[in-house]
Amino acid sequence: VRNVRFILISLVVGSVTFTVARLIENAYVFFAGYVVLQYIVLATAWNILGGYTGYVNFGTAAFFALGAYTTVVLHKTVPFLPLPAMMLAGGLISGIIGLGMGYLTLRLRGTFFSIATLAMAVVAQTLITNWNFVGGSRGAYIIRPADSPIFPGDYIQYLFVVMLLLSVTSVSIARAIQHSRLGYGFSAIRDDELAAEASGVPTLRLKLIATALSGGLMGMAGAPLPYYVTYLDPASGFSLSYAVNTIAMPLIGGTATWLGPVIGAILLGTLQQVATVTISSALSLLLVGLLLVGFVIAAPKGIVGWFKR
Amino acid sequence: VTARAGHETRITGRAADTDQTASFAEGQSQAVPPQPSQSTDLTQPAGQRKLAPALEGSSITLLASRTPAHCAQQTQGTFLMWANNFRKATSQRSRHSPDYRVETSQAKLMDLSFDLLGNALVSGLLLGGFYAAVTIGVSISFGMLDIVNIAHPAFVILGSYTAYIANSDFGFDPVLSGIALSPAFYLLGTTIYYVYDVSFERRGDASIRSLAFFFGILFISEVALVLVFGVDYRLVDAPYIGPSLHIGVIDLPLRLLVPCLISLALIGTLQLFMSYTFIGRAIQAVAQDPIALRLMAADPSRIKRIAFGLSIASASIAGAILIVIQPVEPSIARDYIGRIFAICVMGGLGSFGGTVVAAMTLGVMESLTSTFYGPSWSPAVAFGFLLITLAVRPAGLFGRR
Repeated sequence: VRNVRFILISLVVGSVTFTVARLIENAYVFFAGYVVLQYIVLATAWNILGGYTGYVNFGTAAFFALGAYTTVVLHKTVPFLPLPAMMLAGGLISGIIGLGMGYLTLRLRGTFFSIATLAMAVVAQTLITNWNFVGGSRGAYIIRPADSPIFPGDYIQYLFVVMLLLSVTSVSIARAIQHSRLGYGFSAIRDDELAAEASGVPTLRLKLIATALSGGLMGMAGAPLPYYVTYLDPASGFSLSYAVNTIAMPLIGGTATWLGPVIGAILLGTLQQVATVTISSALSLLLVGLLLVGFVIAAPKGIVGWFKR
Repeated sequence: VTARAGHETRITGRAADTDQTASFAEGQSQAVPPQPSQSTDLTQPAGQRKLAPALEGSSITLLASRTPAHCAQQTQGTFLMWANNFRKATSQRSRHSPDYRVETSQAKLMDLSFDLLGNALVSGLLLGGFYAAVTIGVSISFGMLDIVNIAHPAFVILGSYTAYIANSDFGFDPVLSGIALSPAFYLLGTTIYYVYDVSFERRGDASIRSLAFFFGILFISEVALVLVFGVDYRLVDAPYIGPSLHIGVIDLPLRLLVPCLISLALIGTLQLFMSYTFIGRAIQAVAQDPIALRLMAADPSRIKRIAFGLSIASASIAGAILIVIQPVEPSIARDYIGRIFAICVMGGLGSFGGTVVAAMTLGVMESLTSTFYGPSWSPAVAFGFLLITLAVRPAGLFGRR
């Protein structure tokens, strides 16, 4: 019942956001808002693995871009497929990749998993760069439809709504996990994996669930990207800034709860949008890096930690 | 790169014009194998053309993998074209063996592939020697101190840029200036370790945050370098960049040979230091048992600080020889993360000898891959290597665990 109420509340918040955005009558609001929502999904997805179980994933960009490239492939083969179906496919592919990666490396210490995720990002990028069907290193062009298919308005508004629903879904999932048996298992792994294993927590299975879920959500977040940017090349799809942002947001917000990544994503995402417009995009990235290092050193529990003292 | 691509096309074009080739190719005019047709054309200086692809294959490996996208594409195209023709030519041999012209071309082809293989092996070994220098710092910090310094390649690139400034603004030799600047990097390393120690190690249980810390440093240094130097490729000048030694058909570019020798000297020196000095042995001991080390009247925190300083100091020299080998721009640090950790893990964490052997193995594999499949595939080799090592034998080839 609590979950249902939470979903209803967040849907209300979501529709209020959308209505306000429509009232502003400036398409840029949707473009900027889409990015912030996308980071809410990414940060929440990262936190399911990184925050709850303590396994650091540096390969966000890989899962994200695999989702995006799934859309590129589907767009070229079955262009009539609706966007949500493409997102499901992207999520499925990324989830399976996450499962395979986890199966290979999650038996080892967490460090090795982290390094392997970095490695996977480059392997995936190399494969995509060499795959001519999706444009190779030249990139792929996707023509964005002019109008939203379900309600009157621009297509970017449709993308915004889709991402809004996805972020509500992923935050609800993260919150539901946090208060469930699964979530307690995850925390047990984070706090002391050996002790958890000894007391009968199926650690490998739980870690695999977390990796697949986290990777799948990242893939879903990436799937609409080709329609958003209309031109996708490996260098931008696999950009390191996705990885840095998705790590910085939960760590700045606080990793222990579902709220932390949301706060971090809204704060940092908005800050970056503003800084990109007013200063420069390179400086806004530098800002993210400095904030990440600063918070990690000075405020280990993040912003949420300030209020829970 | 562009000029070479043109050259290749020209050869193919000429080959298609000769009627000998037409009879040879038997209706496969689209897939004319340039090598056999060249060798039937006796008026050309055969050796020169025969070696050309081989040399290109070995010496531009690194250059090409980092040239801007369209250039890389072109290079890749050339390589793939060559490799495909090579394969087609080899497959056609059996069907055409009665023809004496094909017999000669077969002999030339065997020569060619041996030259190519030999050069690829040699340049792979030299490249591997250089990889060892980049990795040795991580072998110390990750292998001995258990500090997952994923920012190490960023320090290597920083070393490249300091060597670049010393070379282009003051005219110093890049490698010597890399060695001369290593004390400054040592101080940088001890400072970073101090921050790390105070914020993570003494608070205990900090694996996530310390990983994020080094990841943040990696990212900050990359963005800062982009802001200061832009994304252009930077080069250095030195007398040993350009000329090559030739031993038979094997080609030893000094641009790869000098870095390899310096790298081996660096690792040898570090090995001697680790084996024969008190601090060196204390560094080896500190990862195993810090309390026992305290009983020997050594402060583990100080020992680790020195070791981390040394690992960053090695990045100065590694960076200097990196910019000798290839042009440098800020984002190439990322490509080295996978290589470094693949080598470090495969070599058995903390073993210097293992690091050198693993580095050379990886170098040879990358060189063979980029010679026979194209340089755009070579990043995947290191990472594939790493994944396989982690999945199959995480203790490394020479690991003791």
